[in-house]
Amino acid sequence: MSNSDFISGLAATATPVRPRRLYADFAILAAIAGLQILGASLLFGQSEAVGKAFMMDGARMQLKFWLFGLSGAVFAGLALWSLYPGTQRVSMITLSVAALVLLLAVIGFDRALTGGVGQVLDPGHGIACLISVVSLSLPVTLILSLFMVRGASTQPNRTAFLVGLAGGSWGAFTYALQCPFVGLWYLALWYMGAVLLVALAARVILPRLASW
Amino acid sequence: MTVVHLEHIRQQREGLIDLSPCGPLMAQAQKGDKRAYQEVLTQCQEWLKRYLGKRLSPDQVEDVIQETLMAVHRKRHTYDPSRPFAPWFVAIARFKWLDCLRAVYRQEDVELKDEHGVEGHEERVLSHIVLERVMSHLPEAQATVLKLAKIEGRSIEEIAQLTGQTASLVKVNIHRARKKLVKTLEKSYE
Repeated sequence: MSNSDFISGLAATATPVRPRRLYADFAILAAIAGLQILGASLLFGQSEAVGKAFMMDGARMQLKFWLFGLSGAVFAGLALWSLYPGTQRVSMITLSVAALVLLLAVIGFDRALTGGVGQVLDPGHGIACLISVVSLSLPVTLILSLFMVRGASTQPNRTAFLVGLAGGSWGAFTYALQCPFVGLWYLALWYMGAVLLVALAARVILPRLASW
Repeated sequence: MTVVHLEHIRQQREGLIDLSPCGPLMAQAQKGDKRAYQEVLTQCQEWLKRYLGKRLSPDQVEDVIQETLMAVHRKRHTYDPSRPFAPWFVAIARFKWLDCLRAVYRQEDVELKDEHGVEGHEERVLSHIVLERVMSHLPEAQATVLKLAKIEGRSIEEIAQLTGQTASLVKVNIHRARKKLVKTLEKSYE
């Protein structure tokens, strides 16, 4: 088929489409993320342990909420932004945000290894925490995945990784509302481990689903 | 603004068509204006002929043009009319070009595992200018085997004798060279 016939064929079948808007996608995502927080609060209620942790170490608890909540929002924004063909400097911004999060975590959280590594890492709670964060990451990850499949990322691997980072961070934020731990090593292993797990899974799975 | 400016300079340097009038036309096309859409696709096709003509061998160009236009058609809702058209379209064109390279290399890697010889058709896949530019980024051992196999068309056995590498190492080096080649191309356009 000649190119002119091909073009005529495409033009003939062109129906009106609604242009993609970044803020509209972000608003849908924010609504779903908000509903998830509301649902989790209604389902689990207010944790007594979290209340106590707030009384004892309010600053670190707040840092934990802000760090994961903002990371989730920023990574989600970057994932949506990277869906626009031609978007540049996504990697640089992602790395800067990740470095800032790590720096704040190292400065802000409890670095002491009081009672030994086993007690600080607390695998009993830690594994439950890891599974919960991964489970709670699903709504945001799935919605962003749908956007990715529908979108036109010209950097699918990067977008997929960002989708996982955003979903994982939001899952960590949701779980943080029920979890009293603020130790750096605990958070690094179980929270960040879960976030990275979701990001790696998204990086492996999603590029195969993104159709061109 | 810088991105748009750099893109404009690159287009001028390559003698490419100015795509800026396509933005308003594409906005019309999104509303269902078939004539505007036909005009956009025709302009894109002309642009692609020059762009891909410098990057691919002639027998690959037509296929990739149609694939790119199809991708534009399927993803036309992702164009934001408030932003310039060229970066959006060029990113899609570049993506399809690299996609074509990856697909050909994947297929040839399978053939490489099965056969003793390899055809000398790297230049059929990638234009000579682009090939020479990216070859300089490869380690010498990889660049040498790729050149011998894919430009001079020598067999694996011949390359092994000429370079003193084993046949398996030659195959591994060709595979690695191509992976690095595509990565270099991806990075050079980011």
